[in-house]
Amino acid sequence: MRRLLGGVTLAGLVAGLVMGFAIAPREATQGNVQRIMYLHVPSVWVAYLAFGVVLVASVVYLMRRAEAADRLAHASAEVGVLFTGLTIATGSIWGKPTWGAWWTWDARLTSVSILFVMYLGYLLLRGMIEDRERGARFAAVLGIVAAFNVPLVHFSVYWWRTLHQPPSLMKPGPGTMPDIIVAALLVNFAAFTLLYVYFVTRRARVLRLEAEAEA
Amino acid sequence: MTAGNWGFVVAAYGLAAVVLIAYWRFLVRREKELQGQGSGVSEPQASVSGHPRSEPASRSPLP
Amino acid sequence: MNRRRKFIVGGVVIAGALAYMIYAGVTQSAVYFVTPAELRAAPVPGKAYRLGGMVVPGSLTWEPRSLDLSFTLSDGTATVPVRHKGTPPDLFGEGRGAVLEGSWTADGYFKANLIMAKHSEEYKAPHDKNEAGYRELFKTLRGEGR
Repeated sequence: MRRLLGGVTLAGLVAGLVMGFAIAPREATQGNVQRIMYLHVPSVWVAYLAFGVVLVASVVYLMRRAEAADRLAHASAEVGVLFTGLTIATGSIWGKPTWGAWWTWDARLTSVSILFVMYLGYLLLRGMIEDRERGARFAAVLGIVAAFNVPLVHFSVYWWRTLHQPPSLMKPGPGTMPDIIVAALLVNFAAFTLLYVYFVTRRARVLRLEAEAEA
Repeated sequence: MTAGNWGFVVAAYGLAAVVLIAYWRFLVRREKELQGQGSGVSEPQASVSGHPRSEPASRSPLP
Repeated sequence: MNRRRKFIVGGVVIAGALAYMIYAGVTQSAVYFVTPAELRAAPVPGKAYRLGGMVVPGSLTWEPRSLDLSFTLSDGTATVPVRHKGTPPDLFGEGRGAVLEGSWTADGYFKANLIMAKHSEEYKAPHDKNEAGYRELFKTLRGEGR
Protein backbone atom coordinates (compact mmCIF):
# COMPACT_ATOMS: atom_id res chain seq x y z
CA MET A 1 0.00 0.00 0.00
CA ARG A 2 2.73 2.42 0.97
CA ARG A 3 4.83 1.33 -1.99
CA LEU A 4 1.88 1.93 -4.27
CA LEU A 5 1.37 5.42 -2.85
CA GLY A 6 5.09 6.14 -3.21
CA GLY A 7 5.09 4.94 -6.80
CA VAL A 8 2.02 6.95 -7.77
CA THR A 9 3.48 10.04 -6.07
CA LEU A 10 6.76 9.69 -7.95
CA ALA A 11 4.88 9.26 -11.23
CA GLY A 12 2.83 12.36 -10.42
CA LEU A 13 5.91 14.43 -9.70
CA VAL A 14 7.51 13.31 -12.96
CA ALA A 15 4.28 14.15 -14.81
CA GLY A 16 4.31 17.57 -13.12
CA LEU A 17 7.85 18.23 -14.32
CA VAL A 18 6.94 17.17 -17.86
CA MET A 19 3.88 19.45 -17.79
CA GLY A 20 5.83 22.37 -16.38
CA PHE A 21 8.86 22.15 -18.67
CA ALA A 22 7.84 20.41 -21.87
CA ILE A 23 4.10 21.03 -22.33
CA ALA A 24 3.51 24.47 -20.82
CA PRO A 25 4.80 27.35 -22.93
CA ARG A 26 7.24 30.02 -21.88
CA GLU A 27 5.13 32.73 -20.29
CA ALA A 28 5.02 35.86 -22.46
CA THR A 29 5.84 38.54 -19.87
CA GLN A 30 8.01 36.80 -17.29
CA GLY A 31 9.79 34.32 -19.49
CA ASN A 32 11.01 31.02 -18.12
CA VAL A 33 11.17 32.05 -14.46
CA GLN A 34 7.39 31.67 -14.43
CA ARG A 35 8.03 27.90 -14.37
CA ILE A 36 9.05 28.30 -10.71
CA MET A 37 5.33 28.81 -10.14
CA TYR A 38 4.73 25.06 -10.68
CA LEU A 39 6.78 24.54 -7.53
CA HIS A 40 5.89 27.62 -5.53
CA VAL A 41 2.09 27.55 -5.71
CA PRO A 42 1.61 23.78 -5.07
CA SER A 43 4.04 24.13 -2.13
CA VAL A 44 1.95 26.81 -0.48
CA TRP A 45 -1.16 24.75 -1.16
CA VAL A 46 0.41 21.82 0.72
CA ALA A 47 1.29 24.21 3.56
CA TYR A 48 -2.33 25.41 3.76
CA LEU A 49 -3.57 21.83 3.66
CA ALA A 50 -1.04 20.67 6.26
CA PHE A 51 -1.93 23.40 8.75
CA GLY A 52 -5.63 22.77 8.14
CA VAL A 53 -5.03 19.12 9.06
CA VAL A 54 -3.14 20.25 12.18
CA LEU A 55 -6.19 22.32 13.16
CA VAL A 56 -8.67 19.46 12.70
CA ALA A 57 -6.42 16.85 14.33
CA SER A 58 -5.79 19.18 17.27
CA VAL A 59 -9.53 19.70 17.83
CA VAL A 60 -10.07 15.95 17.64
CA TYR A 61 -7.26 15.36 20.11
CA LEU A 62 -8.68 17.80 22.63
CA MET A 63 -12.11 16.19 22.33
CA ARG A 64 -11.16 12.51 22.28
CA ARG A 65 -7.59 12.43 23.63
CA ALA A 66 -6.70 10.01 20.82
CA GLU A 67 -2.92 9.72 20.49
CA ALA A 68 -3.22 8.97 16.78
CA ALA A 69 -4.78 12.42 16.27
CA ASP A 70 -1.90 13.99 18.19
CA ARG A 71 0.65 12.18 16.05
CA LEU A 72 -1.17 13.23 12.89
CA ALA A 73 -1.08 16.88 14.02
CA HIS A 74 2.63 16.61 14.80
CA ALA A 75 3.49 14.95 11.48
CA SER A 76 1.36 17.37 9.49
CA ALA A 77 2.88 20.42 11.20
CA GLU A 78 6.38 19.21 10.37
CA VAL A 79 5.53 18.63 6.71
CA GLY A 80 3.74 21.99 6.65
CA VAL A 81 6.85 23.77 7.93
CA LEU A 82 8.92 22.00 5.28
CA PHE A 83 6.64 23.18 2.48
CA THR A 84 6.26 26.70 3.90
CA GLY A 85 10.05 26.92 3.84
CA LEU A 86 10.07 25.73 0.23
CA THR A 87 7.39 28.29 -0.65
CA ILE A 88 9.46 31.12 0.81
CA ALA A 89 12.72 29.96 -0.77
CA THR A 90 11.29 29.38 -4.26
CA GLY A 91 9.36 32.64 -4.05
CA SER A 92 12.52 34.51 -3.18
CA ILE A 93 14.39 32.92 -6.10
CA TRP A 94 11.48 33.95 -8.36
CA GLY A 95 11.30 37.45 -6.91
CA LYS A 96 14.87 38.42 -7.77
CA PRO A 97 14.53 38.24 -11.57
CA THR A 98 10.85 39.26 -11.61
CA TRP A 99 10.52 42.02 -9.05
CA GLY A 100 14.17 42.96 -8.82
CA ALA A 101 14.43 42.05 -5.12
CA TRP A 102 15.00 38.82 -3.18
CA TRP A 103 12.86 40.06 -0.33
CA THR A 104 10.61 42.91 0.76
CA TRP A 105 8.43 43.34 3.83
CA ASP A 106 5.04 43.49 2.17
CA ALA A 107 2.02 41.95 3.88
CA ARG A 108 2.18 38.64 1.98
CA LEU A 109 5.86 38.03 2.69
CA THR A 110 5.59 39.20 6.29
CA SER A 111 2.54 37.07 7.04
CA VAL A 112 4.01 33.94 5.48
CA SER A 113 7.20 34.45 7.53
CA ILE A 114 5.09 34.70 10.68
CA LEU A 115 3.28 31.51 9.66
CA PHE A 116 6.60 29.73 9.18
CA VAL A 117 8.08 30.85 12.48
CA MET A 118 4.91 30.12 14.47
CA TYR A 119 4.85 26.50 13.34
CA LEU A 120 8.59 26.23 13.96
CA GLY A 121 7.70 27.34 17.48
CA TYR A 122 4.99 24.68 17.54
CA LEU A 123 7.55 21.98 16.71
CA LEU A 124 9.93 23.36 19.33
CA LEU A 125 7.20 23.32 21.96
CA ARG A 126 6.48 19.69 21.12
CA GLY A 127 10.08 18.76 21.79
CA MET A 128 10.36 20.92 24.88
CA ILE A 129 7.72 19.55 27.20
CA GLU A 130 8.77 16.27 28.77
CA ASP A 131 5.35 15.14 29.90
CA ARG A 132 3.76 13.55 26.84
CA GLU A 133 0.15 14.26 27.61
CA ARG A 134 0.74 17.81 28.73
CA GLY A 135 2.91 18.55 25.68
CA ALA A 136 0.24 17.20 23.37
CA ARG A 137 -2.41 19.37 25.02
CA PHE A 138 -0.34 22.57 24.74
CA ALA A 139 0.58 21.76 21.15
CA ALA A 140 -3.08 21.18 20.26
CA VAL A 141 -4.02 24.61 21.59
CA LEU A 142 -1.16 26.25 19.67
CA GLY A 143 -2.06 24.23 16.58
CA ILE A 144 -5.56 25.66 16.69
CA VAL A 145 -4.49 29.25 17.39
CA ALA A 146 -1.76 29.32 14.73
CA ALA A 147 -4.17 28.12 12.04
CA PHE A 148 -5.71 31.59 11.96
CA ASN A 149 -2.57 32.69 10.14
CA VAL A 150 -3.51 30.72 7.05
CA PRO A 151 -6.38 33.00 5.89
CA LEU A 152 -4.24 35.99 6.90
CA VAL A 153 -1.53 34.85 4.48
CA HIS A 154 -3.94 34.01 1.69
CA PHE A 155 -6.03 37.20 1.83
CA SER A 156 -3.18 39.57 2.73
CA VAL A 157 -2.88 40.56 -0.92
CA TYR A 158 -6.49 41.82 -0.82
CA TRP A 159 -6.46 43.37 2.64
CA TRP A 160 -3.25 45.37 2.28
CA ARG A 161 -1.22 46.97 -0.49
CA THR A 162 1.45 44.49 -1.46
CA LEU A 163 4.15 43.89 -4.02
CA HIS A 164 2.99 40.31 -4.36
CA GLN A 165 0.26 39.86 -6.95
CA PRO A 166 -3.17 38.45 -6.04
CA PRO A 167 -3.84 34.75 -6.72
CA SER A 168 -4.63 33.60 -10.24
CA LEU A 169 -5.97 30.17 -9.42
CA MET A 170 -7.00 29.80 -5.76
CA LYS A 171 -9.78 32.39 -6.06
CA PRO A 172 -13.33 32.78 -7.38
CA GLY A 173 -14.06 34.58 -10.64
CA PRO A 174 -12.77 34.33 -14.19
CA GLY A 175 -9.36 32.86 -14.89
CA THR A 176 -6.32 34.97 -15.66
CA MET A 177 -4.21 32.17 -17.08
CA PRO A 178 -4.24 30.14 -20.31
CA ASP A 179 -5.68 26.63 -19.95
CA ILE A 180 -2.34 24.96 -20.56
CA ILE A 181 -0.73 26.74 -17.60
CA VAL A 182 -3.75 25.89 -15.44
CA ALA A 183 -3.44 22.24 -16.48
CA ALA A 184 0.27 22.15 -15.62
CA LEU A 185 -0.49 23.70 -12.25
CA LEU A 186 -3.28 21.22 -11.51
CA VAL A 187 -1.05 18.22 -12.26
CA ASN A 188 1.51 19.63 -9.84
CA PHE A 189 -1.20 20.29 -7.24
CA ALA A 190 -2.22 16.64 -7.43
CA ALA A 191 1.37 15.38 -7.26
CA PHE A 192 2.21 17.59 -4.28
CA THR A 193 -0.96 16.55 -2.48
CA LEU A 194 0.07 12.90 -2.91
CA LEU A 195 3.55 13.75 -1.68
CA TYR A 196 1.97 15.39 1.37
CA VAL A 197 -0.09 12.27 2.14
CA TYR A 198 2.96 10.07 1.63
CA PHE A 199 5.17 12.17 3.91
CA VAL A 200 2.56 12.57 6.65
CA THR A 201 1.65 8.89 6.82
CA ARG A 202 5.31 7.93 6.99
CA ARG A 203 6.11 10.57 9.58
CA ALA A 204 3.13 9.55 11.71
CA ARG A 205 4.33 5.94 11.52
CA VAL A 206 7.79 6.95 12.71
CA LEU A 207 6.18 8.86 15.58
CA ARG A 208 4.18 5.79 16.53
CA LEU A 209 7.31 3.62 16.48
CA GLU A 210 9.07 6.22 18.63
CA ALA A 211 6.24 6.18 21.15
CA GLU A 212 6.30 2.36 21.23
CA ALA A 213 10.06 2.32 21.70
CA GLU A 214 9.76 4.71 24.65
CA ALA A 215 6.99 2.75 26.31
CA MET B 1 17.24 38.51 -21.07
CA THR B 2 15.60 35.12 -20.75
CA ALA B 3 18.87 33.24 -21.17
CA GLY B 4 20.17 34.02 -17.69
CA ASN B 5 16.86 33.28 -16.06
CA TRP B 6 17.23 29.51 -16.45
CA GLY B 7 19.71 29.77 -13.61
CA PHE B 8 16.95 30.86 -11.26
CA VAL B 9 14.67 28.05 -12.47
CA VAL B 10 17.39 25.44 -11.98
CA ALA B 11 18.24 26.86 -8.55
CA ALA B 12 14.61 26.68 -7.39
CA TYR B 13 14.01 23.13 -8.64
CA GLY B 14 17.42 21.97 -7.45
CA LEU B 15 16.82 23.31 -3.97
CA ALA B 16 13.38 21.69 -3.81
CA ALA B 17 14.79 18.35 -4.96
CA VAL B 18 17.56 18.42 -2.34
CA VAL B 19 15.18 19.34 0.50
CA LEU B 20 12.48 16.82 -0.40
CA ILE B 21 14.90 13.95 -0.98
CA ALA B 22 16.70 14.74 2.29
CA TYR B 23 13.41 14.63 4.21
CA TRP B 24 12.41 11.38 2.53
CA ARG B 25 15.76 9.83 3.42
CA PHE B 26 15.40 11.02 7.01
CA LEU B 27 12.02 9.27 7.26
CA VAL B 28 13.36 6.03 5.75
CA ARG B 29 16.43 6.00 7.98
CA ARG B 30 14.51 6.78 11.16
CA GLU B 31 11.98 4.08 10.43
CA LYS B 32 14.74 1.51 9.83
CA GLU B 33 16.44 2.50 13.09
CA LEU B 34 13.28 2.11 15.12
CA GLN B 35 12.37 -1.20 13.54
CA GLY B 36 15.92 -2.45 14.07
CA GLN B 37 15.99 -1.66 17.80
CA GLY B 38 12.51 -3.16 18.32
CA SER B 39 11.97 -6.80 19.29
CA GLY B 40 12.47 -7.78 15.66
CA VAL B 41 8.93 -9.01 15.23
CA SER B 42 8.12 -6.68 12.36
CA GLU B 43 10.81 -7.47 9.80
CA PRO B 44 13.05 -10.38 10.73
CA GLN B 45 14.75 -10.61 7.32
CA ALA B 46 16.21 -7.18 7.74
CA SER B 47 18.70 -8.28 10.40
CA VAL B 48 20.32 -11.23 8.66
CA SER B 49 23.72 -9.58 8.61
CA GLY B 50 23.07 -7.65 11.77
CA HIS B 51 23.02 -4.48 9.68
CA PRO B 52 19.51 -3.40 8.85
CA ARG B 53 20.45 -1.27 5.84
CA SER B 54 22.49 -3.83 3.95
CA GLU B 55 19.50 -5.80 2.71
CA PRO B 56 18.33 -4.40 -0.63
CA ALA B 57 15.05 -6.28 -0.44
CA SER B 58 14.06 -4.44 2.71
CA ARG B 59 14.56 -1.04 1.18
CA SER B 60 11.61 1.01 0.15
CA PRO B 61 11.15 2.22 -3.39
CA LEU B 62 11.70 5.83 -4.29
CA PRO B 63 10.22 7.86 -2.75
CA MET C 1 20.13 20.59 31.47
CA ASN C 2 21.83 20.74 28.07
CA ARG C 3 18.58 19.83 26.36
CA ARG C 4 16.82 22.51 28.35
CA ARG C 5 19.36 25.13 27.30
CA LYS C 6 18.91 24.18 23.66
CA PHE C 7 15.18 24.76 23.93
CA ILE C 8 15.65 28.07 25.69
CA VAL C 9 17.98 29.28 22.93
CA GLY C 10 15.53 28.04 20.30
CA GLY C 11 12.65 29.73 22.06
CA VAL C 12 14.49 33.04 22.29
CA VAL C 13 15.43 32.89 18.59
CA ILE C 14 11.84 32.17 17.60
CA ALA C 15 10.39 34.83 19.87
CA GLY C 16 12.92 37.35 18.54
CA ALA C 17 12.17 36.50 14.92
CA LEU C 18 8.44 36.74 15.58
CA ALA C 19 8.82 40.09 17.32
CA TYR C 20 10.90 41.44 14.43
CA MET C 21 8.36 40.26 11.85
CA ILE C 22 5.45 41.78 13.72
CA TYR C 23 7.45 45.01 13.98
CA ALA C 24 8.16 44.88 10.24
CA GLY C 25 4.49 44.14 9.61
CA VAL C 26 3.28 47.13 11.61
CA THR C 27 5.88 49.59 10.30
CA GLN C 28 6.19 48.40 6.70
CA SER C 29 3.48 46.00 5.55
CA ALA C 30 0.45 47.82 6.95
CA VAL C 31 1.08 50.68 4.53
CA TYR C 32 3.50 49.01 2.16
CA PHE C 33 3.54 51.92 -0.26
CA VAL C 34 1.95 55.33 -0.70
CA THR C 35 0.32 56.36 -3.96
CA PRO C 36 1.35 59.45 -5.96
CA ALA C 37 -1.83 61.22 -4.76
CA GLU C 38 -0.96 60.51 -1.12
CA LEU C 39 2.60 61.69 -1.61
CA ARG C 40 1.42 64.86 -3.36
CA ALA C 41 -0.97 65.60 -0.49
CA ALA C 42 1.81 65.87 2.10
CA PRO C 43 5.34 65.53 0.68
CA VAL C 44 8.19 65.72 3.17
CA PRO C 45 11.58 66.38 1.51
CA GLY C 46 14.26 63.93 2.56
CA LYS C 47 11.84 61.44 4.10
CA ALA C 48 12.07 57.83 2.92
CA TYR C 49 9.01 56.57 1.12
CA ARG C 50 7.89 53.53 -0.74
CA LEU C 51 5.90 54.76 -3.73
CA GLY C 52 3.62 52.54 -5.81
CA GLY C 53 1.85 53.18 -9.09
CA MET C 54 1.91 52.72 -12.84
CA VAL C 55 4.60 53.96 -15.19
CA VAL C 56 2.87 56.47 -17.52
CA PRO C 57 3.22 55.32 -21.15
CA GLY C 58 5.49 57.62 -23.13
CA SER C 59 7.17 59.08 -20.04
CA LEU C 60 10.10 56.68 -19.79
CA THR C 61 13.59 57.74 -20.83
CA TRP C 62 16.77 55.79 -20.16
CA GLU C 63 20.33 56.77 -20.93
CA PRO C 64 22.25 53.45 -21.10
CA ARG C 65 25.67 55.06 -20.75
CA SER C 66 25.01 57.19 -17.69
CA LEU C 67 22.26 54.82 -16.42
CA ASP C 68 20.01 57.84 -15.89
CA LEU C 69 16.41 56.70 -15.77
CA SER C 70 13.43 59.01 -15.56
CA PHE C 71 9.70 58.46 -15.82
CA THR C 72 6.36 59.55 -14.42
CA LEU C 73 4.49 57.41 -11.92
CA SER C 74 0.70 57.68 -11.77
CA ASP C 75 -2.18 56.29 -9.74
CA GLY C 76 -4.87 57.68 -12.04
CA THR C 77 -5.43 60.85 -10.05
CA ALA C 78 -1.96 62.29 -9.48
CA THR C 79 1.48 61.88 -11.03
CA VAL C 80 5.00 62.09 -9.62
CA PRO C 81 8.20 62.63 -11.65
CA VAL C 82 10.81 60.02 -10.77
CA ARG C 83 14.56 59.84 -11.32
CA HIS C 84 16.80 56.84 -10.77
CA LYS C 85 20.35 55.76 -11.53
CA GLY C 86 20.78 52.14 -12.49
CA THR C 87 19.34 49.28 -14.49
CA PRO C 88 15.66 48.52 -13.77
CA PRO C 89 14.41 44.90 -13.47
CA ASP C 90 13.38 43.10 -16.67
CA LEU C 91 9.68 43.43 -16.01
CA PHE C 92 9.84 47.17 -15.45
CA GLY C 93 8.27 49.14 -18.30
CA GLU C 94 5.70 51.64 -19.50
CA GLY C 95 2.12 50.84 -18.63
CA ARG C 96 3.24 48.41 -15.89
CA GLY C 97 3.12 48.64 -12.13
CA ALA C 98 6.17 49.49 -10.06
CA VAL C 99 7.05 50.02 -6.41
CA LEU C 100 9.91 52.41 -5.70
CA GLU C 101 12.01 52.93 -2.60
CA GLY C 102 13.50 56.36 -2.26
CA SER C 103 12.82 59.87 -1.06
CA TRP C 104 11.11 63.04 -2.07
CA THR C 105 13.53 65.83 -2.96
CA ALA C 106 13.16 69.55 -2.41
CA ASP C 107 13.61 69.97 -6.18
CA GLY C 108 10.18 68.45 -6.75
CA TYR C 109 10.96 64.94 -7.94
CA PHE C 110 11.13 61.50 -6.37
CA LYS C 111 14.63 60.07 -6.15
CA ALA C 112 14.33 56.28 -6.36
CA ASN C 113 17.08 54.10 -4.87
CA LEU C 114 15.40 50.80 -5.68
CA ILE C 115 12.90 49.94 -8.40
CA MET C 116 10.74 46.86 -8.03
CA ALA C 117 8.43 45.69 -10.80
CA LYS C 118 4.93 44.81 -9.64
CA HIS C 119 3.71 41.77 -11.47
CA SER C 120 0.04 41.33 -12.35
CA GLU C 121 -1.84 38.07 -11.77
CA GLU C 122 -2.31 37.66 -15.52
CA TYR C 123 -0.34 35.06 -17.41
CA LYS C 124 -0.11 34.77 -21.16
CA ALA C 125 1.20 32.21 -23.58
CA PRO C 126 3.71 33.60 -26.05
CA HIS C 127 2.45 34.31 -29.56
CA ASP C 128 4.43 31.41 -30.91
CA LYS C 129 2.44 28.55 -29.46
CA ASN C 130 5.01 25.94 -30.49
CA GLU C 131 7.65 27.33 -28.19
CA ALA C 132 7.54 24.62 -25.55
CA GLY C 133 9.88 24.73 -22.58
CA TYR C 134 12.41 22.11 -23.59
CA ARG C 135 12.92 23.74 -27.00
CA GLU C 136 13.55 27.02 -25.24
CA LEU C 137 16.01 25.29 -22.95
CA PHE C 138 17.92 23.71 -25.84
CA LYS C 139 18.01 27.07 -27.59
CA THR C 140 19.51 28.63 -24.49
CA LEU C 141 22.03 25.81 -24.12
CA ARG C 142 23.12 26.39 -27.71
CA GLY C 143 23.72 29.98 -26.77
CA GLU C 144 21.02 31.48 -28.94
CA GLY C 145 19.44 33.42 -26.13
CA ARG C 146 15.85 34.22 -26.91
